[in-house]
Amino acid sequence: MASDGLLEQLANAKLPFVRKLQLAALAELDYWEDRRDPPNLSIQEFRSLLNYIPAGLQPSWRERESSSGPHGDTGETQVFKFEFEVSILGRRSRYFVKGYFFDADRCRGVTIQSFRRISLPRLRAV
Amino acid sequence: MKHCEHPQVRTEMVKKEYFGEQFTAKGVVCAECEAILWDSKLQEKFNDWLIRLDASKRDKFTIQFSLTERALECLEHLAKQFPGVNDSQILRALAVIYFNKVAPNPEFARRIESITESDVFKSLLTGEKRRSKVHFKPSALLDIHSWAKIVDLPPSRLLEESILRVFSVYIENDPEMKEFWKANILPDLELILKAS
Repeated sequence: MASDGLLEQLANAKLPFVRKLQLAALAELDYWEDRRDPPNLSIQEFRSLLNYIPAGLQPSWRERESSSGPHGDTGETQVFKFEFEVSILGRRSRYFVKGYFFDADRCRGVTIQSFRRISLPRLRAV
Repeated sequence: MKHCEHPQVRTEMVKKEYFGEQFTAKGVVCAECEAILWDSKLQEKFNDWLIRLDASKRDKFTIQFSLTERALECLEHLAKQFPGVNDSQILRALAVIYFNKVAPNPEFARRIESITESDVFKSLLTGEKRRSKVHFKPSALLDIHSWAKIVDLPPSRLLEESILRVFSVYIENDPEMKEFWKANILPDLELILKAS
């Protein structure tokens, strides 16, 4: 269960999106881990890359279609979608993320519906 | 590619392989795309499984990799600053710092990558290599395997590359790099090793 301090931070309406996502994932994370082959990105990879999302990134939003999952009924009605690029050990790759915060009336976590790599790691051009 | 919204779910036994071993537990699965919902309940079952696996098969949590004599000299020199701390702890701490502090910061990452062009870094690659075996706690090993998947390298190679980059900063004579080491790496290293 998330600490009061964490929940208090999540209640701040002025929290930038990426910071909110990082804190919500720390508080309570529901993660749909894709079994299709490929790509198959794990919850561990998602957690590892959370700090790599650019701090000022703004997602796009659209209406959520599904209400399944433990927080499907209580979660926000809008899903966020965004892509971000990561460069590690000189290798660059790009990811897609989709999900929604829950609960709608008081944020205490996040559900990640999709987390995919959309380009393979490649060495940066010199 | 259409992204599934997971409209219908069912409960079933889910299986996943980690470190050559099978984790199985009851979980929620999407009836359309078969994605597994990894929630706090499944995470708890997974954590329990990891603890049992570490107790019964310690070798599963060991990574074997190679470092040159020069790199091992760096490690030995660094270890002298932290009495009572073993090589595994230092190597793990350096990898954690690289991936959690250095690599996410674009400016830090750029500076560290620039060091791969230096003579210092190249000197750490040449010479005879010696094998090292390092045991990691389950959570640390999961991190390493996760990073290995992200950069598409075997875990052993991942450890070598990240550690050599940090060693290069440590031994570089350039005043800027020395300052970078003191300001951005050493404090975290001290903190991690005090707690370990």
